Formats: sequence, C-alpha cells, structure tokens
Amino acid sequence: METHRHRVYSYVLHMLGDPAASADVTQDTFIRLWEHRTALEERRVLSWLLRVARNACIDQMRKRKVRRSVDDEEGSIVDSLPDSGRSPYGDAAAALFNERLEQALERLGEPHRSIVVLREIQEYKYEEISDVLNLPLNTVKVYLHRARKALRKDLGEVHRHDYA
Amino acid sequence: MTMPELNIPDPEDLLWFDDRVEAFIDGDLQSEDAERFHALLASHAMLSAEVEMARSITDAFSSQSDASCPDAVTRNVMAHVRKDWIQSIPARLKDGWRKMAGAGLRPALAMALLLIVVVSSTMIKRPAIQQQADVVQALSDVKMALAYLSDAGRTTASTVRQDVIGPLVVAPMSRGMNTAIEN
Repeated sequence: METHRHRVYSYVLHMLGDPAASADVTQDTFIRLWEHRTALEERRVLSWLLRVARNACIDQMRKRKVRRSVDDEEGSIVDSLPDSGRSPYGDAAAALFNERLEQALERLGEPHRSIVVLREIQEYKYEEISDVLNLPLNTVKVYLHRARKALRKDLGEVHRHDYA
Repeated sequence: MTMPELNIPDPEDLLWFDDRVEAFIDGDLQSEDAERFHALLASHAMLSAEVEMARSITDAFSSQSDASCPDAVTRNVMAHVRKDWIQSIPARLKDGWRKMAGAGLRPALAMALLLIVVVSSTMIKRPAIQQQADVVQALSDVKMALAYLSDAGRTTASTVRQDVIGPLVVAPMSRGMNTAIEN
C-alpha cells in the first residue's frame, strides 16, 4: 500500500480536485484491493488500482457533479507544486497559469482527461495507460494528441480573452 | 534580428502546423516535416505563440509532483483489514476443513479423533476398583491360556513321538541295525 497510495491519491485528486473526496476514493480503492487480493497478480496491482480509482471518480463526478473551484485555495493542486524558487511575480504568474490549466483539464472529457493526467503529469508509459484504460495503444496516442491540442486551444482562448 | 511576420498563415499550412506542434515539442517531428515546420515558425508570430503555449503546458504538467496521500487513508484501510481478518477466522477454518476433506484427510482425522475419545474415556472415566478387577480377570485369563498351551504342547509332543518319530525314525534305524548285525 505504501508503494502505490501516493500515485493513486494523486491521480484521484487530479480527477476530482477535492482532497476529502479523493481520500475517500483512495481508501475505498485500497479496501477493494484487499477484498480482491487473491485474484490479482502483483505486477498488475497498480494498473488495477488506477482502473478502480478511475471508475470511482467517474461515479463521483456523475453523482455529485463535482466541479473544482479554483477560488478554493485549500486543497488546490497548486498547493502540491514544488517550490521553484522563482520571483513572487513569476510564482503568481505560474500559479495563475496552473489554475487555468486545471480548469482546461476539467473541461476535457473522459478518457482524454485520464490520459493527460497519467501521461503528462504522472508519466506512465503508453502501454501502462492502455492497460489501465483498456484501450488500444494507438488510441491512447491519438487521444493524447487530441487532448493536448484541445488544452492548447482552450488556454489560447483564455489568453487571448485576458489580453483583449 | 528578424522578427516573425504578423501575417495570417494559409489555412492549409495552419492545419498542417497545428497537427505537428506536440510532436515538435516532444522532439518527435519527422525529419521530412522539420524544414516546412521551421519555415512556418519563422514566418508567422502566431505559430510561435502556439508553440510557446504547448511548451508551457508541458512544462506546467511536468513540474507537478505526486500529491501526498493523507496518513489517515492508510490507518483506515489497515483498520478495515484487521477487522475483516478477525471476522473471517471461522470461515477460513471451515474452508481449511473443506480443503482437507478434498485432499482425503477427513477419514484419517475422524479416526484420530475417535481414538482420542476412546482412549480418554477408558483412561479417565473408569473407576479404579474396576481397573483392579480387570487386572485380576486378565491374570486369570493369562493363567488359563498358559495352562492350555502347556497341555496342548504336551499332547502334541506325545502325538509326534508316537505317530512320527517312532514309525519314521526309530523303526527304520532299528531295522537297519538288526540287518547290519545279522550280516
């Protein structure tokens, strides 16, 4: 559990944006792992955990219509960012950009959002993402390409709007 | 230093460029596309801005580390596991018994159990006076058996002497000696 809990929690937090709900989903995911422990191969545990966590996130989003509030400083993913040692102005600009990026990520549908989180943030291999999402490898690559393009367009629109 | 032109690219060029921005950022741009890509990049400021946006997104994502999972999650999961483990002990014992039965060990276990019960009841529950009576009875039985065996032995020895040794050993030897003396 110690090995995977941060990976799973981090993924769920990126999906839900709510630390309390993310902790609950992570907890339920590991309890399900305990219940299914005899049926799992050790090398596939992380993929299984992420798959279960993703399904739980989708359920949560459907049921509760969870939307992350960028105004809620507490629990923002920005809090988890390492201190880059930039100037206050640079930090503020980076924080603002990250908030915008989070909002744009929220607007992505599934499975694009999961693919971006798993590949771009958590740096999983394409094969691992394919396994987690049960999608063909090429589909993962195509979806990632589309998702990155969509994020670029979305943020470009915001940028143009801000400076118009 | 020449600045990129602020003109609008050809729509066809724009689409072609747009499809290759991420590949360019990742360093995966095909060599045959590189020249055209760089030419467009140098010619249009808005395309440079697209590349910069794509690079900023990639940098922002890669700068994010895994969030730390609260320790309470681990504590709650471990509490659930302990509770579940304790509650499942009867079921696991039952399952173990079923598995032993499947392996053919059930009759052996039943025999061992029966033996233990019989021995225990014999050794523990019977009164001491009854044990003494049993010893007397057993000694009597042993004496009777020995007497019978002794009598049987005597009878058997007499029978062997009369029916086997006499006619088959003593008589031929006697006849042989008489013949030798007469000759």
